[in-house]
Amino acid sequence: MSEIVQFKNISKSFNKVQALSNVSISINSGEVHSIVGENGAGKSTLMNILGGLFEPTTGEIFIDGKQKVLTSEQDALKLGIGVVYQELKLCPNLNITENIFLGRELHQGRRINWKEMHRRSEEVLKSLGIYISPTTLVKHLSVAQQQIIEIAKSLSKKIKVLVLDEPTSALTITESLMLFENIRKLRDSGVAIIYISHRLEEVLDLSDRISVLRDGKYKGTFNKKDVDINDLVRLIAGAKFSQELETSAQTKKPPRPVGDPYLKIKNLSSADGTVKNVSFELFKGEVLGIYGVQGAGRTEMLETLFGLRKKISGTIQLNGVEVNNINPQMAIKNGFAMIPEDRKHIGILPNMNICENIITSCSEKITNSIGWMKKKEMNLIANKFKNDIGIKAINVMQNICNLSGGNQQKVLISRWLSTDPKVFLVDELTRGVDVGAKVEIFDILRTLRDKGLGIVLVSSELQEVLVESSRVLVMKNGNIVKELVGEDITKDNIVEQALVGEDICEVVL
Amino acid sequence: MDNDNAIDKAKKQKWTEKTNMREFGVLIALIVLIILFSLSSPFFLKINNLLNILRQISLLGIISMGMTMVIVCAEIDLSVGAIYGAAATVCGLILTNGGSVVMSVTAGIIVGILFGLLNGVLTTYGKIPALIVTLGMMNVARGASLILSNARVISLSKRTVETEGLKDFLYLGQGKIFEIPIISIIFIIVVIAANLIYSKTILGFRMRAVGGNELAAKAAGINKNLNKIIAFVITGFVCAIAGVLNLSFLANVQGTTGTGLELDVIAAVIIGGTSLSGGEGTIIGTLIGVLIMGVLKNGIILLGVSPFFQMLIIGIVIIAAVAIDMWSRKKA
Repeated sequence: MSEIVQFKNISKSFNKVQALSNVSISINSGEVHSIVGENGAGKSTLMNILGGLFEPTTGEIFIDGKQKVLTSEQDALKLGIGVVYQELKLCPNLNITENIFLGRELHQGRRINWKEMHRRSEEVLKSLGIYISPTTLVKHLSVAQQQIIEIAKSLSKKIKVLVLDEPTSALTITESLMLFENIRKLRDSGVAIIYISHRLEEVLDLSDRISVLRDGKYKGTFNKKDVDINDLVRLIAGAKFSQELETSAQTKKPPRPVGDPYLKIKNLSSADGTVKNVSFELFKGEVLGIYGVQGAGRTEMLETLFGLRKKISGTIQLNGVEVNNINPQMAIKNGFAMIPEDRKHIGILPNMNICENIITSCSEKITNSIGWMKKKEMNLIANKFKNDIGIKAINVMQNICNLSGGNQQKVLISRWLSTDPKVFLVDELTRGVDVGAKVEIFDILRTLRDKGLGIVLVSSELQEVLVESSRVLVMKNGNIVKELVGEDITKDNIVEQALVGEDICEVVL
Repeated sequence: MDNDNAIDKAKKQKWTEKTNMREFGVLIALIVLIILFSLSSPFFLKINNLLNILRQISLLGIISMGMTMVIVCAEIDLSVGAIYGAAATVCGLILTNGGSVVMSVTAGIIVGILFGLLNGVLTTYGKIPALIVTLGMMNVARGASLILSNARVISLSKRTVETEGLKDFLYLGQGKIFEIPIISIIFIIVVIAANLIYSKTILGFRMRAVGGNELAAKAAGINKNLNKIIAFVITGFVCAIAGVLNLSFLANVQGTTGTGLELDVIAAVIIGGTSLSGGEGTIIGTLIGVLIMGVLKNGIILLGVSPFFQMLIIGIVIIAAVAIDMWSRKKA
């Protein structure tokens, strides 16, 4: 066992955000080395540095004992480092061989040597234990098989280090097991495997050693036999939780509302299976936090509630009356509002100005009976929100694309407030928003809560959920695995539930 | 008080902020063309010639108003020429078979609306790309016209039509009020109506929203399918109006009437600054685009240049208009 990759004092900052600080990890050949940590702990940043996508701000990388500077993916590949990213990068319309040899086809003179390429593809596939014809089109393969093709693609380049970023997030259990078998085979043949996953059961099952990152800092490397799942959770969340944050969270946290729940969700499931049997209640004047790792079904749950995703079963009761949000129009009519996760693609109307972006959803207020738009009313509404919400712009005629992320988000908040919602669903409210605007946006949210709105807050930022919510629901694999109330809302608890919470649909590996 | 001030401010900045740069560019191009032609031909600025241009562009212009809405929704309609022909064929057939003017015109317009509705429903709920749907519909409508007319010319004259109102019907296409052709007056009415619908009502706003970002529009509670269908129906409707007016102007129609018209219409809309990717475009811009097409065709003939140059030059203008649009957008 020799050291093949060594990170030495790696730091990386984006603008003023420190993504990694002083991380030193060494990876041996012939081991499965897992790297675990919260969302935003710096795992992906570290792997992007190894893959040549980012350069570290400070620090060195040693490959095979020699210091190397990686400036592109090609550099990394030349040194034998292959990265399989979470999102697969295959051409579905081409066959397996064509994908494996894409961009480096073998040829004799001007003729492409398909025979040799097919032979080699078959060889690689066989070494991974799958027997599919290399002329099969990739679109006809299952996601797991496609995952294997990605790995085969890396292997055919004679790599020494294989990075797998969340490879099982889209796989079923049997598919995962098949993948693990292949990973072990690879390890036994001497390849170093860096495995990144949120699923701690898998990590413990598969790894030889485990390194933990927290808030961009290295928290140690452990042999599998020396740690159990509770240790890992504690390490990931931080054993001693920052005292100040906890007190600030306690003081700011509103009392738990009393009375009857305003919104009752029962057994909500989406047609595509991303949301399974979700039930919860929301009170007036509370912020209900929803947390989960990526792919836990948080966004999908909100979309199903709002009628953007097809509901297959379940009931939604608002103020004791059952409502049916078959599409966003109905949802809006029923008093729902939703700030989407992806502001650019399903939020803003890029060809329009601030005023038009605000009045998009409140057509009754700004039109007369024949659909005539009342310019004066539009301007009144837009300017009222511009002042109340604090949108920083010259005037409401400015195009929305010229605004900062925070101000765009404020425009979207205005759009929804203009519909007088009763239930406000917000998804990653502060993604791509600078720190100053973040504080302002949460001030707005608190004002809305105090006015009696029911707010469902989905966030990947643990701190936001901790500080703002009076209750926290933790989701995993499309289910709600835990409801945390009052003093139980701690970083430890949330992270533990998000990672290892009891899940009725998954067999423990 | 604060709000009132803000409104005043908004009003003051209205002109600088709202003037559509592209619309402005197209207008300059039109003015340059007019100056060029008036310098090189003494006949160009004569009232008669200008009225002639206005009459020539009227039918193209009427259809372009609908097409603008379809393209703003980020869709396309290739079937306009064929719908134009089909509506006229149906109208002509009913007239020659003894139907009344009102009945035949109504029938022609219903044909246009139905084709538009079909285009819209297949594109949205049928989830078939508009390019395919309307390409197919172009052939369907064209084929239907040829079958119905037996591929013969349907001619409206005292010999073939015994309806009382025939004279009135022909007056629609051939008559003038104060020297202005009635066709052109109808064109102007259509422009005004389209501009009101497009820029003053919620419908036009929603079309722009859907074309600008379909997913966001849907998430904001806009029924994107409905708005697209309305755009297609309006287009079918204006095609039928233009087709019926053409029948009245020529006093005859045949199955092939309007062949290739869709390309002129799309060209005018694009020259007018409407973006094929949707969300951007104005009725006034399209009006200017239509005028540029008319002025170019007329000027070239006045200069005595071979009419084949018309096609060549219009081709260049289309590419240039879009090129300027794309390049200026890249900078922004």
